[in-house]
Amino acid sequence: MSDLVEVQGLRKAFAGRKRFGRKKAEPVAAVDDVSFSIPAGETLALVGESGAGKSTVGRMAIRLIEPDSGSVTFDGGDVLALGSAELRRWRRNAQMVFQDPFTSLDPHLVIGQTIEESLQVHGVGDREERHERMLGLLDRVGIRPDQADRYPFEFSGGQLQRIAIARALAPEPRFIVCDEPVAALDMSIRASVLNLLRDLQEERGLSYLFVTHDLSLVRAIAHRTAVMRQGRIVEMGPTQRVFDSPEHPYTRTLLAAVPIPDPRIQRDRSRTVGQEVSPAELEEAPASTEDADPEWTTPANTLPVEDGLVAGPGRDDEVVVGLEKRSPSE
Amino acid sequence: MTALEKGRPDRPVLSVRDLRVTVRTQGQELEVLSDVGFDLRPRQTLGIVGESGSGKSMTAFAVMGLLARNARVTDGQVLLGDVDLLSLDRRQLSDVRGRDIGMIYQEARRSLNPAFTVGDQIAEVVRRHQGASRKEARARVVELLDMVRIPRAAERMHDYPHMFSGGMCQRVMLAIALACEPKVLIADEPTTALDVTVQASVLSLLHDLQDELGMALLLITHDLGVVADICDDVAVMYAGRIVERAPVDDLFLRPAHPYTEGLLGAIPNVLAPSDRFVAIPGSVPPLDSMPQGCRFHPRCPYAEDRCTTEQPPLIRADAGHGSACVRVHELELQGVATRV
Repeated sequence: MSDLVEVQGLRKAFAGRKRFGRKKAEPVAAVDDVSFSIPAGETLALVGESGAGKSTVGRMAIRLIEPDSGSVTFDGGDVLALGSAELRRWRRNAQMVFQDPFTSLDPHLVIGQTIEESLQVHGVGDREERHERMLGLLDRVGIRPDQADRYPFEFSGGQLQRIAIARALAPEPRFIVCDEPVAALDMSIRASVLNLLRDLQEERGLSYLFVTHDLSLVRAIAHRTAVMRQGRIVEMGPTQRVFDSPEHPYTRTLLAAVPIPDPRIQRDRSRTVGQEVSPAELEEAPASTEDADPEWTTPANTLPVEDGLVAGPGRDDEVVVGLEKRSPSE
Repeated sequence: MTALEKGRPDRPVLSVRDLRVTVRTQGQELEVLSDVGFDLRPRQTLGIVGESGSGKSMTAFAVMGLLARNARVTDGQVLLGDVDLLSLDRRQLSDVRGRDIGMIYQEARRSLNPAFTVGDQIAEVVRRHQGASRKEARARVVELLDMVRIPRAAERMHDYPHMFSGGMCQRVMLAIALACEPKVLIADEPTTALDVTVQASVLSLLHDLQDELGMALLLITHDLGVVADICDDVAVMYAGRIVERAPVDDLFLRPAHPYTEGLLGAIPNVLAPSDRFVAIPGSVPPLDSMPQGCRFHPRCPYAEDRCTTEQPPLIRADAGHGSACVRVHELELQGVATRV
């Protein structure tokens, strides 16, 4: 299968906070040389902790944020070269589902209008056709079509996220960036939203970039996983490989820190994690991004590139492991 | 001398009995907690798990006497030793809070006052409850910051909250809550806002401090992974009621309430790859339209006719294991099975 989305050497620096007594705010590198590709019909999970730059990458991949440098290719075409009118037309192809459905849906519009608006913006059909399609979309995501004239506040979080998914689906995109799509939802609701995303992928051959801090979700939804830390991808590979035999110390630390919902196992694991985390390290670790929690550091740059692994794009001082040449998906 | 040796270990330090809380909203009086009861023994960690709207935080606020103005306790007791906290006036309660019961919240940074140094905020507690002098308080602050493993305590006490990261703020909160070595610490989603690696270190600190100080811990969380990590016992709440209470291993391996089974099936596990997430159909009912009978019955795959009318109290399923399901003895429910 060929790659639908390809991102090369993305970089983004944001103006940092101006410190007292300094003339200028230092720019902060939020994303530093990030590259990946996503084949049609596949999901790449971008995982990492707060401040790692994963949401910025997600937004740059559909040009909601302009990268400072690098390239974004969609179906062979250069996305960054598009003019504003072309970009708007292109956006039919690439949509986004945000973390918080309470704030990402317009509270003044009934949900049917929200979805019809998305169709209208992309010039789909006439008024009647749009209405029909809207009803079909609601039905597909499990919202009763007779609820189309209700306002967002009349729905629960899980229902709202389904509506947000329907809106993203409306222009029939081929690529959806899901930025923490279930983080705001209760655990009993998450499962059904994730299942919906998976079913839609199978039906429509969608590609997802799935941004999340929750590693436990990734295993069941992503074909490939990229682990980000401080603006860089430190490890990327088939999900199962990354989880079963993580190569980078940071990946291992991250995985070890996720509590396992099974007391027999968790009791033994957690004490070891606890011991690895020394408070001095926590406090002293430098962070590359302004908002990163400077609490954790790993011995970086210590890992040899192993046989069969290709050192990823980047300079010599970076450790990018697990970047394997992808074999056709199984 | 540890707390275990000091007192009779079986006697609960905190005992909540038949607690009912109502909230007045838009002219209606809605019950948000019904018959909530549990005991907390010295050194015990009891987890209260539930989804949003289950009443888990409301339980903590009711125990601390911190209910909002439109909420009130209509029935029940909150016994700290022999004293019913619900019978105390505001002044007496504020003596108890911070001295006998400490509390930490989800967003540590927001709970700290941005205009005072962390040292001042810790010292305030020591001076208020223990009548310490400024000098004594300062020494105690350094001790406490050391205890919560904040490096260079003597320097950092002069820093303001914004100079600390999220995890470090939670450590400061912990220092405040533990300043008077309370018998009970209530932690309401203490690690929810933190990154996983930081969460791991804060949980491990909580665990160590509990060992050192011998306090009882009431941990409120939605995260079953956190429960599996540090709890001895668990109470599962749904729609304002405790629906199951059990020692932690029993709850995970032999759940006795269909809601618990559903939750265990819905949570992903990094060690156990699954192809599909098992969802609980429907959603938590809103307060003003609670179903009759068992409040979980509209979402329950095992519901029968009597579930729509009967709401049993906790029925004994096993030693120390209770379930509020009328079918508890008929059902064979599935626990976690992590393949390693």
